[in-house]
Amino acid sequence: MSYIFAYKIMCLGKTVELAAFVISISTICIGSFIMVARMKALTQIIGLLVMENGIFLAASAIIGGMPFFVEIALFFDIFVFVIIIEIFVYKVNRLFTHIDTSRMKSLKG
Amino acid sequence: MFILLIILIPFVLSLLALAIKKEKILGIINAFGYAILFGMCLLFTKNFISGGSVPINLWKTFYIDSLSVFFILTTAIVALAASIYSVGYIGVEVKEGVISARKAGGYFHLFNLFCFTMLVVPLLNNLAMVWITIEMTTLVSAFLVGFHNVKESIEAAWKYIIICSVGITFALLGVIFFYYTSSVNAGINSLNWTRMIEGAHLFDHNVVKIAFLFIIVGYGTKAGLAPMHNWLPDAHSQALSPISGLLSGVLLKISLYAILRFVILANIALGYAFCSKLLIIFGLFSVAVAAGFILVQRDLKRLLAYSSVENIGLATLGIGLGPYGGIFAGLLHIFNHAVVKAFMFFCAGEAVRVYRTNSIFKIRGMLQCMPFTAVAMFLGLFALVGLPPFAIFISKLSIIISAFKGRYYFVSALMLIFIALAFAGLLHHITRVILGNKPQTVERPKELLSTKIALLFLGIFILGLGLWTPPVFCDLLTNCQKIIFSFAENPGH
Repeated sequence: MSYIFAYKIMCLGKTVELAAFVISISTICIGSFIMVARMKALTQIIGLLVMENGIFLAASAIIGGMPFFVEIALFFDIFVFVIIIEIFVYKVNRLFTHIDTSRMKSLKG
Repeated sequence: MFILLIILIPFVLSLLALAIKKEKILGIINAFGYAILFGMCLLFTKNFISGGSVPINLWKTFYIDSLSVFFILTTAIVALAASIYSVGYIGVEVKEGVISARKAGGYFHLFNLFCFTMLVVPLLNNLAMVWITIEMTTLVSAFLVGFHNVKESIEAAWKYIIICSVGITFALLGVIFFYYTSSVNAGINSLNWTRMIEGAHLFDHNVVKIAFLFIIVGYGTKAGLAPMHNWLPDAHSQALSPISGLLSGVLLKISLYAILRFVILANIALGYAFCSKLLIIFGLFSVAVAAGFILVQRDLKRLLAYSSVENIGLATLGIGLGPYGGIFAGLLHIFNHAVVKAFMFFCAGEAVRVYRTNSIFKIRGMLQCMPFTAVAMFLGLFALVGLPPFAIFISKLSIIISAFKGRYYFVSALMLIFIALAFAGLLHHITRVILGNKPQTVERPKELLSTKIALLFLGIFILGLGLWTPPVFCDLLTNCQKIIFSFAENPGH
């Protein structure tokens, strides 16, 4: 599917670019799958980071990376994200006595 | 330069919040800071309009046109009301021992950082930087959602941060696709919006279509459009009430602003039909889903949150109907909804504070308990559902008019049905909350002065804009409409 996407829509010519882009799209798909399928809080974070990895690979595959300043800022953003989400994992662990997100079901409807 | 001074205010205030220990003094300083910010914004808007609305481009990093000014003005108004409301709200929470004085300082620190990030978003020229600042708003406000450190609020904060981050990651992919097509097809090696707009007519059609889909799903998650709205009622119901007002009033609109920037790019490349179709579908679906959930709601703040989903859907629908005057209507609706929803959340916050529950079945007889807030909430309810003398009536009507103008009869019929359903649901639930006999256990509290001031301040806009639109504001909206269409009028295809 990623291959068709890369080949038909993006019209990538060179083989190296094509391969890298296909891999990056697959990585993004796998990342989102991990997020949906796993119930542990930590694995959800891992899924998100896998997705971010895929996006960076896509960026460097098709356009040779983002402008320098933007990349630094993105890196900083993800760094802050990880720190903040770890604080939340700590809180979830303390309050729910486990980091299983399927225990969160008091808010519905 | 002046505008940069404006956005420096919340930053300075956030540092002050760490230095000052007394929460009462801190709250008052905070409110004064935002009053100054609001005054400066008004002055800036007036100068901007009288100077012919020429876009300001500072060092290629900041780009300010009518669209940015409109969103900054909305943010400033809601932020001022929220900061006034916070003075009393946080004071009482500290007095009752719900939060400690040290945490109150933390609250004001985060509040200011949150406002700072939201004010920066409309100023930036670089689309990746816009993405980063929008992600920052999520990260900062997650602490404000999970402020109480109990199971429900942590759950809401977790959902909020995870769903919004994933959504916005897709938006980043969309940004990268836009960058790809602009560098390959148009030869512009820059993420600056002003540069990309020059070559937008050369963009590759398929890539732009895919990219715009990613953008609308990604930023749509943050804006609370229907299939991706799950975080919204949780976060809004668990956040502190001033923050609920800010989340619903401004945060959702800021990501709509990001979508608008891409709508302009995609319009030039594809013509309006493609974006229009997508925006109408998402908007209508949001209205439909929200109308259903409003009818069966049992939680007062969740009810208001679903009403936000409905209204954001209407605004999106308005923007989708752009060629028929829908942009004007949509933006007017964004402004009106921001003001009214903040107003309603402040009233609901007072009710929740006094009754110590969110449940609609337990909050009864507000009129006996706190007359001023109850009357305000009643009027706010009429404004929210769109009854005449209030401002939302005009914007809803003009969205419907533009739908008829565009011969979208089916869409407008469906929209009217869903609006009527939401109208019935809101009226049913909220009148039950306001009228009736109050429970014996609840004593009559003292109504806070700061709440009254905040409600009156927002009330001026709710009623005033319904009766008379200031020419400056009208010019601003017309200019926004022009920005979205002036580029699209000379397509390259």
